[in-house]
Amino acid sequence: MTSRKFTFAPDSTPLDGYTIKRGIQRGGFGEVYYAHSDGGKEVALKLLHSNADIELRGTRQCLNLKHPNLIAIFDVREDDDGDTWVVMEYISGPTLDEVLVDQAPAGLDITATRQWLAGLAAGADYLHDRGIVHRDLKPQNLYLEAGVIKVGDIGLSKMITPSQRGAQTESIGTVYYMAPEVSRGEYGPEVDVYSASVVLYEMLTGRVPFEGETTAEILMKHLSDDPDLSPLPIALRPVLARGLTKDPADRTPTVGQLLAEFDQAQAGRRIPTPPPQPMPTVAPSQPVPGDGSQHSHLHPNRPQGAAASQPVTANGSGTARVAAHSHRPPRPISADIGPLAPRPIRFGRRALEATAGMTAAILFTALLTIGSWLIGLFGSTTGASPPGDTSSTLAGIAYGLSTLVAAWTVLLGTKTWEGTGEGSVLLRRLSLLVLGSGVGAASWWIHRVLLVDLPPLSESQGNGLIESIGSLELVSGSQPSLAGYIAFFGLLLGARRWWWHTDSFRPKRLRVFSLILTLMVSALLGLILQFPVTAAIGWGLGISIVVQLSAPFVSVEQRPEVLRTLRSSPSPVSAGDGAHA
Amino acid sequence: MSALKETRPMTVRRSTPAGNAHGHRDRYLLWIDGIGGFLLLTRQEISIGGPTANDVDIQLLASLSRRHATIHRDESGFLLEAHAATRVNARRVVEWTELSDGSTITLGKTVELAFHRPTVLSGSARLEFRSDHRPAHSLDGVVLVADTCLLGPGKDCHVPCHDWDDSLILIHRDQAWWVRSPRIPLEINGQRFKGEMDISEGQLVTGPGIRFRIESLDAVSPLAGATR
Repeated sequence: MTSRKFTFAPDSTPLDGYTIKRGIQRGGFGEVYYAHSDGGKEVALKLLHSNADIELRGTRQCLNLKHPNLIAIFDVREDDDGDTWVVMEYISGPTLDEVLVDQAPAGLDITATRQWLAGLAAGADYLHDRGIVHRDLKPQNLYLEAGVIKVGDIGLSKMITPSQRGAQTESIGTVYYMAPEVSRGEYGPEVDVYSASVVLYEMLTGRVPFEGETTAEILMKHLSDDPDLSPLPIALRPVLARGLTKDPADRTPTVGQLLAEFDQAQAGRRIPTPPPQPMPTVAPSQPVPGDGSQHSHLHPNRPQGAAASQPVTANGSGTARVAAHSHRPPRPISADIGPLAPRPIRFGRRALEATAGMTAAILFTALLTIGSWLIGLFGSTTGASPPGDTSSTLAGIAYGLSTLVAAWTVLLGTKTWEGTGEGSVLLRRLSLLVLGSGVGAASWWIHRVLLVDLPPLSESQGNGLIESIGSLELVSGSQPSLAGYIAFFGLLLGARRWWWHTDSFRPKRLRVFSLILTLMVSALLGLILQFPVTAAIGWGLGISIVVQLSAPFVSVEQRPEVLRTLRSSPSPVSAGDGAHA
Repeated sequence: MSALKETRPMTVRRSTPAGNAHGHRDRYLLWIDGIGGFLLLTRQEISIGGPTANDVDIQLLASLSRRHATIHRDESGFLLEAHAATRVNARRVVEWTELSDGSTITLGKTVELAFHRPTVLSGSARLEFRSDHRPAHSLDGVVLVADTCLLGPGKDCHVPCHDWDDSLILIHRDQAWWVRSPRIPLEINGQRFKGEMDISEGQLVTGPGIRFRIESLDAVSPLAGATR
C-alpha cells in the first residue's frame, strides 16, 4: 500500500526476461511490481515472502483458471536466488479501496455498488464452482479496469474438499472482512460470502460493519456483535443481515445469491406506495441446496402486525437478533418478491402459464358449478328447485359457461402483463373493461341460446342508479338486456386489479380478502346497474375463486430461484450479467 | 466558434511534421514506487495521434488520426490545435483553443483527456487519461513540462503522490533533469546530497518512503514505447 521498502528498484531485472519499472504495492504476502517483459508485455510481478509454499500451492491451482472477472495468472517462476515470482495480468484501474477512499468516502451509489458486486459475484461464484475459496476478498483486491471488475490476489485461494476443510488454521486475510468461522480455522465458500457482504456494506455506507482499535477487538465483534444495519437502505437490511450471519450454515449460500437478493430488494423498493390491498409480505427465504430447507420459513407470528412485513427470514438466531436490533420500526415496504417484481418472461412461458391456468379454470369452474347445482343454488325462476330440474341444470350451465369465459379472459389478459412491473393501471383497467364487455355479450348470448333467465329483480332492487346508457336500456322486462350484461361484466372486470389475483408471485394462492372485496364490488355493481344481485354476487365470487385457484402460483421459497432463472435467461429486459454490468 | 476569441497575439507555431531535426523528442518516463508511471514531455509542441502515426509524442491506442491534435506551450499558457475532430469542454475546436486548468479534451468520439495546471508557479501541466485509452503501455498520466515538475501529496503537484510526507521538485534544464528537495532528505545511488542533483542518467532517487527514477525514451522509437 505504501511505497516503502520495495526490495527491487526500478530498472532492476531480478527475474530473467522481465524489467521492473516500479513497485506497485507491498502486502503481507509479498511485493508487487509493475514490469515489462523483454517483448514489451506489461505484467504485475509478485515476489512471494516466507510462507511461499502455502501461497504457491494456492497460486499453482489457479494458474489456468480463466474468467473475465478474475485477474489472470500467467506463470509462476523462480529466480536465480530461489525466490518465487508470480507473473500476473497488470490492471491499470483503481482498486475499490482507492475508489472508496478517493472518490466516495461516504459510500457509492446503488448503480456503482451493483457493478462492483456483480463482478465480484461472477468471479467468486466461478472460483467456488471450481472448488476454490478466495479467503481474502476485500476492497484492496477488487479492481475496475475499462468497465470490468477484476478480483485479484487469488493466490490466497485454497482447495476446499471435505477432508481439507478446516485443515488450514493460520489466521490470514484482512480482519475487517474476515468471517467469524475463520478464527476457528474453517474456510468454506461461505467465508467469501461474508467478506463480500462486508464489502457490500462498506460500498453502501463507506464504513465497515465492525471497526476497532485492535485486530482482537475486530475479531471479537465478528464473532459476537450484530452488525448495525441502520445506516443501510431499509430494503437492503435483510439482504445484509443474511450475508453477515455468523453461522455459515445460515448465511446466504453464494455471492451470486447475495447479488440476486440485492437486486430483488432494489426491485421491491421501487414500489412508490404500498399496494391498495394489504399484501402480506413474505421473506425472500431461499432453501440452500443440500442442507435442507429447515431455515427457510416465515415468521408466522410476529408480535406486531407491521413486523409481519419485515422481510427477514428466521435464519438462525443471528439474523433474528439483527432484525430485533433494527431500531427504526419496520416500514411496510416489501423487500420480497411480489407481483410487482419486474422480471423478463418469455412468450413461451407466458403462453404455457396462460394455457395451464385456462385448463385448470375448466376444472375449477366445473367443480364450482356442480357444487352449487347440487346444493340447489340454481333455482328456477320461481325459486329454489330440487337438483335435477331441467331449468336449474340449464341455469347452472349458463352460469358455468359465463364464469369460464370470464376467467379465461382474465387469465389471458393479465398473463400478458405479468412481470412488467407496475405498468399503467389505467390502461390495464381499460383493457379489462373492454374484454369484460365481450364477456358480457357472450354471457347474454349463452343465456339467450339456453333460454335461461336470471333470478328476477327483487322489489328492493326495483330501481337502479343507472337505468340506461344513452338510449340503451339496461333492463328489458325483468331481465338485464345485452347492454346490462355488457355493463356488468365490463365494469366487474375493469373494477378489480385482476392482475394481482393471477400473478405467479401473489402472496397467497387464494386470498379470502380478495374474494370478499370482489363480492362487494359485484353486489354494488348489481345494485347500480339493476343487474340481479344474487347473480352478480355469484359471478363475482365464482370468477374470483376460479381465477385465483387456476392461475399458476410459485411458492415463496421458490421465487428467488425462479426469478434468477427468468433474469438469467437471455431477454432484452434481463438484468445484466455481472461481468459487463 | 467561440474558440476564435483573439485575446492575445497568435503565437501558435504550426506544428512541424515529425520531431526535430535529430529525431530528438524529449520524452522521458518517470517511474515512482507505489505511485505510478508518468510520461514527461519537455518540448513546446506535443503532438497526439493514433497507433498508425509514425512520430508523435503521445501515441494512443485509439481510433484517432495519425496526428490528431497538438498542444502548444508558451510563456502565457497552453493552446490546443486540432487537426481532426476535437472538443474541449464539449465544444468543438475550430483550429485552436486555449486550455485551462480542468479542461476536458475529447479526441475523436471516445478519447477523453483531462488537462490540469495545478499551480500557477510552474508553467507545466498534466494530462490525465479519462477514458480507458492508453499508449501501448499503461501510464498514469502525462506531464507537459515547461521547467519544473512537482511531485508530492498536495493538490498543487503535477504528479500526485498521496503517501508522501512532502513535495520535491524535478527541474528540466539544458536537456538534463535535476532534482531538488527542500525538506525531504534524499539519496542518489545511496549518497545523501544537498541542493540540486543531476539525475539525467537514470539515477535512482530514494528517500523515506520514496523511490523513483527517470528513464529517457530518446533512444528508442515511439512504437517501442516504454521498453528499455
